[in-house]
Amino acid sequence: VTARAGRAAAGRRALGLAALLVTAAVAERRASACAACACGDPTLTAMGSEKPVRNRLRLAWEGRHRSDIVGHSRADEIRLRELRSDLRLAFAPHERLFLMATVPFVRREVTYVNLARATQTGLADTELRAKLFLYQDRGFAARHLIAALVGVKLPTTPAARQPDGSLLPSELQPGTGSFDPQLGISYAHFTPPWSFYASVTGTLTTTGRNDTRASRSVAGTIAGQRQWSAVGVRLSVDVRADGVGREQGEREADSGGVIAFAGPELLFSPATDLLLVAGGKLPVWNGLRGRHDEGPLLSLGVAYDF
Amino acid sequence: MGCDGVVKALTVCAAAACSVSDYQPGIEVGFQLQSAEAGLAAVDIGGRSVSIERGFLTTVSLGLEPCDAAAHAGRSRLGAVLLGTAHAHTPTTPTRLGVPIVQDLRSGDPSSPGLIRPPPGRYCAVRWAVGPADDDALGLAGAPGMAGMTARVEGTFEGGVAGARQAFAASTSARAGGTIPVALDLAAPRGAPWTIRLSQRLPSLLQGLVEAADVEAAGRKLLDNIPAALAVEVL
Repeated sequence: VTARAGRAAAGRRALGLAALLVTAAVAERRASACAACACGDPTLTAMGSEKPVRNRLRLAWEGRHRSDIVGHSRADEIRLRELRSDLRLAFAPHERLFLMATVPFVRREVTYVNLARATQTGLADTELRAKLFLYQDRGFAARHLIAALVGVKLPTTPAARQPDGSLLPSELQPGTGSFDPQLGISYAHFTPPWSFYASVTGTLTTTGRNDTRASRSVAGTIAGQRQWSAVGVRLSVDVRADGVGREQGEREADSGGVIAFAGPELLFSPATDLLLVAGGKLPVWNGLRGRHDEGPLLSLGVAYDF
Repeated sequence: MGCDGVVKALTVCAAAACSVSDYQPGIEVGFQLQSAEAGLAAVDIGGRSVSIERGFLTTVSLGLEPCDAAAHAGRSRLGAVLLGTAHAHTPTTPTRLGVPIVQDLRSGDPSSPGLIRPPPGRYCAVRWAVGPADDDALGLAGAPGMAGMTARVEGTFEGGVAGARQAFAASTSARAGGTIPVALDLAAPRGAPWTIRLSQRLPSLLQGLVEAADVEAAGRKLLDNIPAALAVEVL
């Protein structure tokens, strides 16, 4: 009985960790200006969607790669390649509350229409988030969880400048220099070995440096997961609807619209409290204005509970 | 520590952390405008000595035409639509520089309106356009009376009785444009920008001005003369 209970507990933990994970991979970005827009639910990796255990400390890392071609050939085309590393620390000071801080490190390579190449590597804007659980159907092994998401992206990254002191173009800026508050809601459902997760988050971007404002957006995530002991497979769909961004006070031509990514992720918990995640997503529907050739999104992550 | 304090602390941390940027210039093409006979006291036009006391010409855009221009025409128009600038004048695109510049036809110094950053390819012509100078045209400060004007020339010519010199003037705010052939293969970036120098041969530019019926007609004649007067050189 003890062994079975232990396996069950480990299974629940793996499920809890794995269940929720990471659709976040989709940090879609617009080359022309958007240095911080994202889609999906970035709270999943670090927070999980299970109800928090008081004083749980979770450290998570996620690496992502994406590419994008924005603009028109021989006119304003920009080819963007981005490697992003997110270090996340989540803490549950209460049974109903998760707090999370994300420190991104970004390498961005841009090739312009005249074959000029620019790269920028450095820290990006820090993000703070909180997840407050509003409802659960029962105290233990809840099957239905509803939580509110509150967050803000802080203008912590100094403006990146060229050697002559002038500002780098917005597509190379690691941050926007703006306070961007977020508000959302999530729902998680557990019916082992299956689990489901859905969330919607709105981001109200504000004007940052150089009179530039990233697109205001609403991002949604729907994910379903099947668990086999320490291994899980999840299929998720991320959708983001963008408003028009502004750059130097002007409306951005290649901004706004809707895009959806979908793809699988493999989850593996090789040891208690440790979770590995690898996944890939493709743009399955691209309704962004202007020309955007989005490449696949690849992600790799690890989370550990202390 | 309040919210501002947290942000400042994080900003300091970010500034102290490794942040590296690198830029490798791509294909760049600069333009220069100058007078071929700058500095001469007088030019000979059909055996008649003509002196310019004031002479200015406003170029409003310069660009490159791909050799397969027909294939790119749609995209060029699209680019022009997409790449509007904050200026009120002609939009700047990767193949067109929409920076108005007032050129002093008497000066020997080349005027440089700026650079374009075109995509790789073969280019077979330089497209030019002249038009009225707007308030932020380059060189306007040194060209009194040129605001809103395309060209203004004042001078004298040898045509009076017993060789006496007579005054003439040409002035217009009309627009004109055209192309001049050039061979430019921009396959890949090089260490320095290419420079296209456009020179105005004054004897050709001033041809027939003194015979014009009035100042405006002389101005239009000057614009008509530009294609024949223009020489292009790639540096």
